[in-house]
Amino acid sequence: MKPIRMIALAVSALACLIDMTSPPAMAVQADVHAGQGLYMKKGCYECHGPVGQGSIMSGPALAPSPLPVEAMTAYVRSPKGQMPLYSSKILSNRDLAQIQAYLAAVPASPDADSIALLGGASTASSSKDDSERGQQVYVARCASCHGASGGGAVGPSLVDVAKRRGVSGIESFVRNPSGAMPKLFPEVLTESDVQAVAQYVARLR
Amino acid sequence: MTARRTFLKEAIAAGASTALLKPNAGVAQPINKAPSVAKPGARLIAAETQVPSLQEAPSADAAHIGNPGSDFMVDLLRMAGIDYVAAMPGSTFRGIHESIVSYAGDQHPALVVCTHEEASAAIAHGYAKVAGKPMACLVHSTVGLQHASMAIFNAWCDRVPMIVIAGNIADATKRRPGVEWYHTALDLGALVRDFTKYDDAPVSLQHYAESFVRAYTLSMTPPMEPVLLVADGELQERPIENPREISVPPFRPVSPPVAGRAALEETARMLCGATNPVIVADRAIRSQAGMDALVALAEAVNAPVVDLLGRLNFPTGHFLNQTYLKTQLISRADVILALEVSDLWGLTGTVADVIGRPTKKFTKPDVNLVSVSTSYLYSKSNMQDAERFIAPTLAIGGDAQASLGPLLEAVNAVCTAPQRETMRKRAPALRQAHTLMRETARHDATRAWDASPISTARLSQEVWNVIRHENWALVSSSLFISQWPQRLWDFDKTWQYIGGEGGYGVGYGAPAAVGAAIAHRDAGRIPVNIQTDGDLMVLPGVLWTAAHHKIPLLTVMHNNRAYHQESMHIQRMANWRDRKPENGTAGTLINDPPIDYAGLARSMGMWAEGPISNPADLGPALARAMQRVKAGEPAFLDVLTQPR
Repeated sequence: MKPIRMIALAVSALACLIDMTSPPAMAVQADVHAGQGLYMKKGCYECHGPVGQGSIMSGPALAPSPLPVEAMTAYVRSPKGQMPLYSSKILSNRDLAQIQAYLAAVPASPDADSIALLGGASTASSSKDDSERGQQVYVARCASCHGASGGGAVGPSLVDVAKRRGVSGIESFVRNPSGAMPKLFPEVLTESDVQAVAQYVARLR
Repeated sequence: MTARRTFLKEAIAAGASTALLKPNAGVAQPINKAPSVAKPGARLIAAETQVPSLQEAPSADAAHIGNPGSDFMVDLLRMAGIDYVAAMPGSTFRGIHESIVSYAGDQHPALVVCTHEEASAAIAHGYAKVAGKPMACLVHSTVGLQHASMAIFNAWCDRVPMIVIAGNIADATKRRPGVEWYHTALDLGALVRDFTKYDDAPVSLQHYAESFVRAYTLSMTPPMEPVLLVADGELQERPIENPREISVPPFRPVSPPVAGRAALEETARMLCGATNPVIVADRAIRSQAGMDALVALAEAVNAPVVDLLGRLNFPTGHFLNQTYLKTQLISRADVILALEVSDLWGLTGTVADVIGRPTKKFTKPDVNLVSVSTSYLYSKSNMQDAERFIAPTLAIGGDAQASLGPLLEAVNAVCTAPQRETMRKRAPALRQAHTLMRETARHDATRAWDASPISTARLSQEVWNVIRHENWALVSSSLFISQWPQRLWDFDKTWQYIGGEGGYGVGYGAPAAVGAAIAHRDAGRIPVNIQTDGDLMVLPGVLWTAAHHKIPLLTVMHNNRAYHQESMHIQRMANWRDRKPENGTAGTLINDPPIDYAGLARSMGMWAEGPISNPADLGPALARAMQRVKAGEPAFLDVLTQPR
């Protein structure tokens, strides 16, 4: 093989190697950026807020911890309530995936207890007791979808769910949800959080 | 209160029955002797000095008018206790205008100078909800009344008293050519008759007096509503004819209608026997005593209260305030007590904004729905503010606030011991639900906490931080800021919140805030207005009115640079038609170029800063603005915000 051709092959191999090791983060970041643009352009922000924060006046929060892309896509194609339908003609699956990537990149909200303007420490007890801890987790992570008293909102009612699943079943579902529920463990919820909130939910009547 | 006003009020109270007394009545005249005038007794003095204009000397020459009719009209305003008259100047009421400033010295009443008649009426609207009594607004015949009409409609829907006085020139031979014909109507009241409770066009000053007292009384009787009096230009400007023949009927308030005893007892039986009662209040409470009565009733039956915020009906920190659990409470309720609920059908169901507009009911089929409202006693039909018809289980025509005391008495008489025990056992779960509700709001508020544009939650809490230790009041609707104030602040006084537009007419917010601020100034309070941008652009001139009259008012913009509600509507249309949802912002943004609201406010003579888009800058800016407000002047911050 001529030296120039060997060099060319080596360069080509090196280029492929670089491509193979290009961080997927770059592609993800591109999706996040594109997703943010689509989120604004397609009007999602109008009801759900530019950062997915939602409003009781217009639409539920979508972030942080958004629905999995499959659940989001299914809902957008056949929404419940008053959300207008987005067909694939006006919002493709690819667009939705990028929007979901954007929402998934929204950082976690600060803890309300760390914000002086929100009264600092929770008015609910900050006791280490598991029942109080479960309530705190529920309020912070579950209430926005399942309702302040567990009666349901965007998400289903959890009242009497223990009769169907039991505490261990609730724990299991929180760790590995299916359908539209976002996966919060272990990124958002610790194991002790899961156990505490399951105990709390099991007592909802 | 000035000595003069005290005197006049006492004179009215003492001499009311003498108002029709004519001079020398009852005094025997000696026969065949020169007639003598008896010395006036106390009652005659009271009758004659109540209306000093009737004592004014007519002019000695034809070049002057010494006792104009408009002086008498202003006396009526004073006798009614009307402290302010809002007006953009107009020639058809030039007589009254001059009487206010010269005869009354621009005090009680004092002029509130406006740059649009709609502002005049909306200022009167906001004022009345705080002051508990009406402001008058003067409007210039046809064109002025047309301008004011939307604000009058808003007040009508909102059940607020207002005295609208419109100039007009009835005698065609007295109208100057051109403009005075365009500015005259045969039936001026027809322009607003569908949304006023009473209107009249008096043809003499005695007629004017009787109509004025009737109009004021009707306006202040629940359901309270705007009224219109036409003040004929000639009647204003000509001398008072036969002043000694004129008398003013006394101002006597009408006792508000109290619900019937049998109906209240039936209601009490339902509440006492309920498993899941709910009390829903809308435009029910108008005084602190009324709020205390509602709290007492709710506590007596341990019923959660949903405050629809037409007024501030229930303290937000009370454990029975469960407003943001409304959906599940209504769906589970076996007894719902609705107090002056403006849309009873909408409380129990909805028409979904989807293709086909299907109806959806929220309530149990066998729910007992009790409605107490003055709307059953008075209504009109052209404007559809009565909402969709629903026949409740028990419809009670009566004033909700006036009926609370008797209802509580009925509850205390009817409830059995076992029922009281059942109610008592509800309390722990209700307390927990309230705590959860408030905690959920705290955590929801953390989303987008540090975002730019600034989140409405962050905006609300930064404002709360600078007002919470003052004698504060929120004078704007909280609907478009996701009701964060009611979800997070501590409201416990009725005057701390006055609801919204009534008829959802855009343009209410800024002037109503100014009107409310006038009443709060008189009470020594600090008002804050969280002002939407689209609303401000309807009547920006009220910023000048606030600066001109040095009205302490903190205005913080909720500037999302859009008619955001309409953006969502247009996007919905696009989605329905499988077309570009991005077109939702076409024709609905207030941008490109963005409006410099701080510059606008400064141009009107008001201290202003902004636009502020970094949440970290908001607290210090609010502190600077509050210094101005506490020093007695209005202050303005332009804040770029998230949409909702």
